[in-house]
Amino acid sequence: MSARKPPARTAVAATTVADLLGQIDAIDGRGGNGRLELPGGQRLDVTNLRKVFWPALKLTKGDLFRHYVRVAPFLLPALADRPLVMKRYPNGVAAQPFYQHRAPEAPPAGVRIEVVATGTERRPHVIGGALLTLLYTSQLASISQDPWFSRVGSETDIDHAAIDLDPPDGLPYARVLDVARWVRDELAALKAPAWPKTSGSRGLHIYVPMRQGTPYDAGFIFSQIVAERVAQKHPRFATTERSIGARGKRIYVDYMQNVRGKTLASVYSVRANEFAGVSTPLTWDEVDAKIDPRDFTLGTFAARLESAGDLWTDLRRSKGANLRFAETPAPRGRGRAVAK
Amino acid sequence: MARALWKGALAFGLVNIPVELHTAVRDSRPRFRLLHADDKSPVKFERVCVREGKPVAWESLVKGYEYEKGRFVVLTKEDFRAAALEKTRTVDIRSFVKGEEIDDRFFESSYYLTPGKGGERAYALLREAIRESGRVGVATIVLRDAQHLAALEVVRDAMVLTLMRYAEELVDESAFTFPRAEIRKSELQMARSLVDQLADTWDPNQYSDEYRANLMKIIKAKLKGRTPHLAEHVEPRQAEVVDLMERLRRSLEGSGRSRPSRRASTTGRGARPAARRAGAAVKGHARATRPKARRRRAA
Repeated sequence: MSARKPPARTAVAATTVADLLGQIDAIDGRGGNGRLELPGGQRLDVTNLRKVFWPALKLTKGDLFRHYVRVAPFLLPALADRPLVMKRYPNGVAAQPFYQHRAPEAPPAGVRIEVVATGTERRPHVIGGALLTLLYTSQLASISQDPWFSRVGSETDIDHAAIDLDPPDGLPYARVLDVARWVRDELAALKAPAWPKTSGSRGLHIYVPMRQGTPYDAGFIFSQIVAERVAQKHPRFATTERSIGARGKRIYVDYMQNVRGKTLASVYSVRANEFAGVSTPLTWDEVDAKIDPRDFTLGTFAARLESAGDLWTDLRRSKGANLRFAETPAPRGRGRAVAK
Repeated sequence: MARALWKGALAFGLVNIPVELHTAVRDSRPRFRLLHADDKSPVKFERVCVREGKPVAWESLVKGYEYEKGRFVVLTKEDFRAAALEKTRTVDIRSFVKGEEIDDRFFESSYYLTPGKGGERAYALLREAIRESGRVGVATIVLRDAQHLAALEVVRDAMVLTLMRYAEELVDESAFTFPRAEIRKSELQMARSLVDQLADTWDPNQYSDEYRANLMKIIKAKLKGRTPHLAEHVEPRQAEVVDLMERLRRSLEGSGRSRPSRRASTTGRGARPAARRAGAAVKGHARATRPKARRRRAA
């Protein structure tokens, strides 16, 4: 297994960001409906930018657009070539959302649609990576960005595995950070590089980059090994129990998302919660310190990005975890290449 | 210092060192008395004759050995006296052996040996000699008529006497079957890496009796008339991590090739027990995608 192939280029110029922010403000000022002009002559009709999506904070659909325009240079590489699942909130975060896996029938020209195999069927998916597509999904009120773990063209191979720490209601975030450190320790013992981020809600995601050609199975089982070890060592605080009732006050160490077709909210995603949290990459030092995910929101995120930079680039640059720690020097495998 | 429970001498060769025995372990669990539920009054035990149904006085009791169901050989105090060994009041060291030769099954309760009056110097001398030898003394001691086998060891500044079981008290391993598996070197390596990850130095303070802690919490809360806050009951779960390692290895072997389409990629290859277990979970999960994701993201 070699280092992974880079995703399609997704550069967004700073001038483009500034220009689009200006256009959005202008449309907002004209009543909320209008047309965005993108580089390369692409156009996107947008509607209802004044519609309140986060009632408690009075944040609007326009604010969602502004966020995604600002983070686009950093977010798009995380979405590039990946089938997206949309969870749409046309009436804001307080109302019922609906899921959309299958791409809409008539997307605007320039939105990439590909037919991908989900394992049970082949269906058209919106493929992420383009600024136009990001704004199009925002127009469809898809609040978070939910990409697959694999890319189109190599749908069966993952770029990363992820462990999702899901705390029960009312547990302080410090407890989530405790479990994150235990996960880090297990990963370190297996010599696997890992990057943490807030989920944007109450949880935390830990991403482990994988080498090219790593199948979903391997990421799933690898994550399961890590999760089970944490749960075994800290049975009073962490669990891999799927039944919510049986978890009690323990944090759910979820490895079940490492399956084709499943998604986690990507880095820099806004979340449909009352504080409009943003999934924010953390340094491990921040995990060791006390941080509050509620500090990273739609309102504050520009400052965070300014001070911390894009912590997610190193994940993409990593050559990936070596899962061959479980490798057998199998009798017939003498001549088989084992990548370092 | 608490009163010695035994005073005597440590005897080995021509040396005789006066020593005392103090218990080195204690039962830290709370003790309970049985009460009459209605009035909280303690109850007492009575020795009742099975045939007459009446209590029997202490002085009317004898001991009987039930050699077959309902038939007894009676042993009197004289019989016990006759069997008793000479009360030597000594810890007789018979030999010094290497500690690793004695396995854990033999050890019972431990006692501190402290020097008796005038025995301090000799005590320290013997202690250092044993320490330097790295060996364990095998001794016999008579306590309450019965002869015991004991191990004499040095623990920091103390000599510790641990009563031991006789070989005839041990259940023979041959009463059970233990597996003799053909183990591949690679499997052993995997299993070994799991062991190594937990490699640590022995620190008994890391471990505490949580059952006792819970009982004491309940007792203290009841004294104050409150309901106790206890850690939730956690069902221990043992995922077979070694088994998972094997599955991970197999999944990597299949990598790079195109793989059969499956709904949940772990449900295939169903013959292995762990795969079946995890697979069942994943299957259920696949069905439950929508509600679960809704719950997750609706936070």
